[in-house]
Amino acid sequence: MSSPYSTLPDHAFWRRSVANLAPEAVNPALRAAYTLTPEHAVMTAGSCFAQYIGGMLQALRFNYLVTEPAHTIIPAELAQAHNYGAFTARYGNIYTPRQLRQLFDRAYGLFHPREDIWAEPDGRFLDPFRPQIQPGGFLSRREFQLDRAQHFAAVRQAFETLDVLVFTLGLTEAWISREDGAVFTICPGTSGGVFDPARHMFHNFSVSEVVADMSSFIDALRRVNPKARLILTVSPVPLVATARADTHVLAATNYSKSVLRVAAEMLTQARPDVSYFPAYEIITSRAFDAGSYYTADRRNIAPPGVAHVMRAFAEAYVGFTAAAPAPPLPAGDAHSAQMRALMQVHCDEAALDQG
Amino acid sequence: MRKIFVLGHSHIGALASGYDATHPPVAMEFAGLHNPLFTPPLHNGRLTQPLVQQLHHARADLHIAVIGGNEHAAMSLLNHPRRFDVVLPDAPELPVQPGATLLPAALALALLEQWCAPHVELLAAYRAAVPGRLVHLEPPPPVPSEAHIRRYPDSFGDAIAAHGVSPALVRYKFWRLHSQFWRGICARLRVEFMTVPTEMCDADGMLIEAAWNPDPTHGNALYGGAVIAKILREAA
Repeated sequence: MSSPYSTLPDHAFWRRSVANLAPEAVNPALRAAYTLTPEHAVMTAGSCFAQYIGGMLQALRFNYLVTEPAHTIIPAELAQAHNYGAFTARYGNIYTPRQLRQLFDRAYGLFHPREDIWAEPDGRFLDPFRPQIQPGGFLSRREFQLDRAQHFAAVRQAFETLDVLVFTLGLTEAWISREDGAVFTICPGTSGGVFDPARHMFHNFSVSEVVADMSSFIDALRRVNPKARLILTVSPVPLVATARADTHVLAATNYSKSVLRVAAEMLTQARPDVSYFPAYEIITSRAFDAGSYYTADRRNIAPPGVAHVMRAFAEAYVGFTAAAPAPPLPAGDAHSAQMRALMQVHCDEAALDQG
Repeated sequence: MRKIFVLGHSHIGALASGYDATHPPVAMEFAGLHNPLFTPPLHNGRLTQPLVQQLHHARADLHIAVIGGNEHAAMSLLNHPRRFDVVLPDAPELPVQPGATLLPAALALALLEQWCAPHVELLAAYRAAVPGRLVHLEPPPPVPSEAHIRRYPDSFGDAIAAHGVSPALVRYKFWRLHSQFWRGICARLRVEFMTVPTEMCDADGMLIEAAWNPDPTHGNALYGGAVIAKILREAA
C-alpha cells in the first residue's frame, strides 16, 4: 500500500529523525540549495543570538564580512568589549525587520529620525539605535556624529559587498517614535534617553508587518546589491521582558517567536533567494528530553547548543562536519608593538644620557 | 621646604638637568628607574627594598613622580599604516585627519589604560610607600616640529623613514588624552597632578622651541628648570 508518505525521506518522520536519534544528532537543517565557499562574503545582523552566528562563521573559517573592524592598534579582547566584530558593522542588536529597513534608510540618507541622539545628564552622548555600542558612551556630540558617519559608511559597504546576509529575527515587541515611526533598539529610559509617553509608544509587530518590512528591506538591498541572498533564522532566546501587562512573559515569547517563524516561512516560500536555517528548532528541540541547550536562567544559550547549531550550519551550507579551531585572538598589531619597543629604547637612552 | 625626592623614568632627565642649570633653593634627589638597582621596581605590587630604602633615607618633604609619560607618543608619534585619530572630549572642535579611522575617545582611553597599567601600578606603590604629599608630573607636550623630530630621530630613524611623523595635531591630541587619563588615575590614588608650566607651551599648546631636547619627545634643561620653578611655586 503506497501513500504520499511512503516516498518521503527520513527527515519527514519524527521517529526516524528525532525520536530514534541522540538529541545532539538531531539535525533539522537540510542540505542548502547552494554551497557557501570562502569566497562568499557573509554578513550577519539581528538579535543577540546573531552574535553566535558571527562567531560560528569565524570558527568555521567562513568569509565573515566585517566592514567596521576595530583599528588594528586595538587588542582583540578590547575590541570585543567595545562591540567590534560582534556583527559585520557596529550596529549592535537589530531585533525587528523594521529596524533593519530603517538602518538601511539611515545609512543611505533616506531617513533622518528626529530623535537621533541622546544627550545624557552626565555629558555623554548615546545613539538611540545602538545605545550600548560604545562602553562609556560617546564623549562629545562631534565624536558621536563622526563615528556615526564612519558607521554608516561601513553599513553601506556591507550591504553593497555581501554575498549572503544571515539575519536573525529576534522580537516582535518594540518601542517606536510617535513622531516619525523610528524603532528604538530598546525602550527609551532603560539604557539611556528618557521615556516620554507623548513621544514613545509600544508596538507589537504582526506577521504581515514582519513580512512587509522584511520584503521592503530585501527589495532595497537588491537595488544596491542584486546578487544578495538571505538566510533567515529565528532567535531561540526568550524575551527578557514583555511590555504587555496582560500577558505572561513565556506566552509573549511564544507568540513573538511564532510570528517570526511564520513570517520566515512565508518569506522563504515567496522569495527564491531567501532560505531558512532552523537554529531555533535545534535549540528548542532539547525541550523534548532531559537535557537543555539553555543556561541556568533558561534564556541564554549554552555552548553545546551553539556547537550543535554550528555543526548543522556547516553540514547544510558547506557539506562538512568537522569545525576547524578558531585562530587565537591577536594582542595588538605589529606597528604598535614596534613603536612601544622603540619608545622603550628611546626612553632608556634618554635616561642613560642623564646618568 | 628642605628636600624634594623625584622618582621616575626618562622625563626625570629634564628635571635633573634643570636642577643643575638653575640651582633652585631646595635640595633635590633624583632616582631614575633605569638604574639597575631599582630593576624591577615592584615586587607583589610594592616598591622593592632598594627603592624603599632610598626613599626613607632621603627624608624628603615632597615626593615627585615622573613615571612613564611617553605612552601617548608610542601611540601617535609616527603615522600608523592605517591612520587613526580621535576627538578630544574637552576640545571636540579640533580638526580630524581626513580618511583616518576614528577611535572613540573612550576606546582610546581604554587602550591607554592597558598600555599604562604597569606605570599605574608603580604610582600606586609609590603612593603607598610615602605618607606625605606626592605630585605626579604631566609629561611635556609634543614637539610641534616634524623637522626637529627628523633631525633628532633617536631610535626612530628607520621607523620614521618607513612611516613618517604623524601630524602635530594628532600627537597633541593623544598627549591631551594621556593627561586626561593620568589626571583620573591621580584623583583615584590621592596623588596631586601637576600640569606643564604654561610658559613652556606655545599658542597651540605644544612645547616651545627653546624647551626641545635633541630627541623626539623629551624636554631639555630649560624645560626642567621651569617645571622645578612651578613645583616650588605651587607645591612646595
